[in-house]
Amino acid sequence: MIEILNCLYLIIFFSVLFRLKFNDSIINKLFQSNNFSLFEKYSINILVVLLILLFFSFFNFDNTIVVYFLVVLNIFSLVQNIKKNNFINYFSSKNIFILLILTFVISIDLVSNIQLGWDGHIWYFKALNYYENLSFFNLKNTMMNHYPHLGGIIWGLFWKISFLDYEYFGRIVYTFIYVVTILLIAEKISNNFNIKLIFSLVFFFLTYDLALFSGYQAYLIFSLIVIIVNLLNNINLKKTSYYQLTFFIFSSYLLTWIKNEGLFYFSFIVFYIVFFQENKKRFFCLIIFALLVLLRIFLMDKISNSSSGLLNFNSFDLILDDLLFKIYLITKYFIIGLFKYPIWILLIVSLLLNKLNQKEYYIIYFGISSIVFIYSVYLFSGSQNLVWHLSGSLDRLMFHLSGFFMLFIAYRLKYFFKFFIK
Amino acid sequence: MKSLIIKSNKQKQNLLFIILFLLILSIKFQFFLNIYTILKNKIETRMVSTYGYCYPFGYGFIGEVYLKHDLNDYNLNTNNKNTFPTSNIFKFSFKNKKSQYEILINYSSNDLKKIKKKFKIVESNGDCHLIKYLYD
Repeated sequence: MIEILNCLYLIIFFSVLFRLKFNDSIINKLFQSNNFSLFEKYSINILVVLLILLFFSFFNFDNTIVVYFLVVLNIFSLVQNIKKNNFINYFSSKNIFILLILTFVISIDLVSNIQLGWDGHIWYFKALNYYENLSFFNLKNTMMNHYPHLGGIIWGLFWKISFLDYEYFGRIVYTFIYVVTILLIAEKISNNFNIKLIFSLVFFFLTYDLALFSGYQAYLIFSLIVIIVNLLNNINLKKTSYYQLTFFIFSSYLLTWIKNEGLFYFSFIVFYIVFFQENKKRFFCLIIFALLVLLRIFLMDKISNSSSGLLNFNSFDLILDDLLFKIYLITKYFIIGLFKYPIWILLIVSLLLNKLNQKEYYIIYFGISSIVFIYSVYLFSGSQNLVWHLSGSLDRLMFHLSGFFMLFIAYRLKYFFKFFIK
Repeated sequence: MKSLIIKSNKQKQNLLFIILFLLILSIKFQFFLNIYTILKNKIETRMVSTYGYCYPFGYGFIGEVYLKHDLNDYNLNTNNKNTFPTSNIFKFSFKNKKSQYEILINYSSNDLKKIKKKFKIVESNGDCHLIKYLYD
């Protein structure tokens, strides 16, 4: 029973922490819009909180102080708003209710199935580092020290905040972020609450995999990609301010600190933004991009004693037969991967069923970048263990990348169901 | 009056819809079974049933020898004969000291004979062993 109560405590804690009511006016000013839904506000605040936590993680500083400070500040600003907006109504709203219920149901699934996955045993030590209040530089004493640590920061932090001293309570934060993301996507299809519920269920069926909560970083990376793509879609990229550009670039930069391949996802997003900018802003974006990448390389170099191994150019040989065989193997496992996380199938089907309009051309860019990325990763890796690599990691890579397509799929579903949905 | 009834019917429909939604959700995520599992078994029991007393990860054995030999301030290396991820996660702390003890998991007596370094077995339970290396 105490475990269930602890889950409830953590979920309410997340719902307060990531709400950041006092941030609303800043968000409205930054994006020059007052039309953000509750889940969009949550999603932006997730980025803000993660940026703050990432920043403090490089110093020998107890992150719980930051989190408690944010929670107290948030409670204060919520209480201040009692008269303006009805406080009780706010917390009893349907959206909050469904967010809490969904997170609770999924977190109970996690708590009941606590086993860490294979890679979870590696990521665990990143979390332990922050659970024990140690600095970023202590990460050199962990296994696979060339892996980045953002997922570990929040895992370790909420493990520490939990009343019960078991690591899996720290992983509940992943379920909260995942649920916010799914609800964010579902609300794009319709404003009708019941229809939102139906489609959120559809998206859960398409994307939920308990194994990915066993210490993997897949849901975190997937969720952040969805959140960023949604934000990019909300504004006119040709008329972005420097503040917006900075926010987008820094938010996308979070991806590089979750997994090494995040560096590529970060590049995809930055180059996409750069494409729409005038020369002066292009230069600005590229300078920030280069500085951030160099900073990451510099910092990771301080703690790691091996390269990422993501792209091992030394093992790449240009023998045609070998190359063709590799392409065959990658394609085979790519097709198998389609059936594990069928978002890709939905993408292909929705692309075939209707023409793209100009606003949807971004999907071609992200689609081609994703496929080129998948093939490059495995073509450049050695051929000895290729089958093992493909069977163990390609599906997860495809799942990360499906984050780029979620919003497009939501709008396509809205289009296809427009005759049934008012 | 008529509009009130319609409103009430609509509310009933919405309520029914939400209940149906929650029911499907509960089935998808095995909510009731999970609650049952959590309520029926204590955390430690579930930890042992997940990670095993000895096979596969030696959770129960590791916890037992740490307690029995008062090793909580030490990091004992764990070595699993099977190809499994590390069992160091159960007791490791960055603040602990190194130890000359080692925990062998899923090592049969034949496997023990193949170890080249000199050691003595401090404690054994099935295929799990607490050993101490001997240095000349």
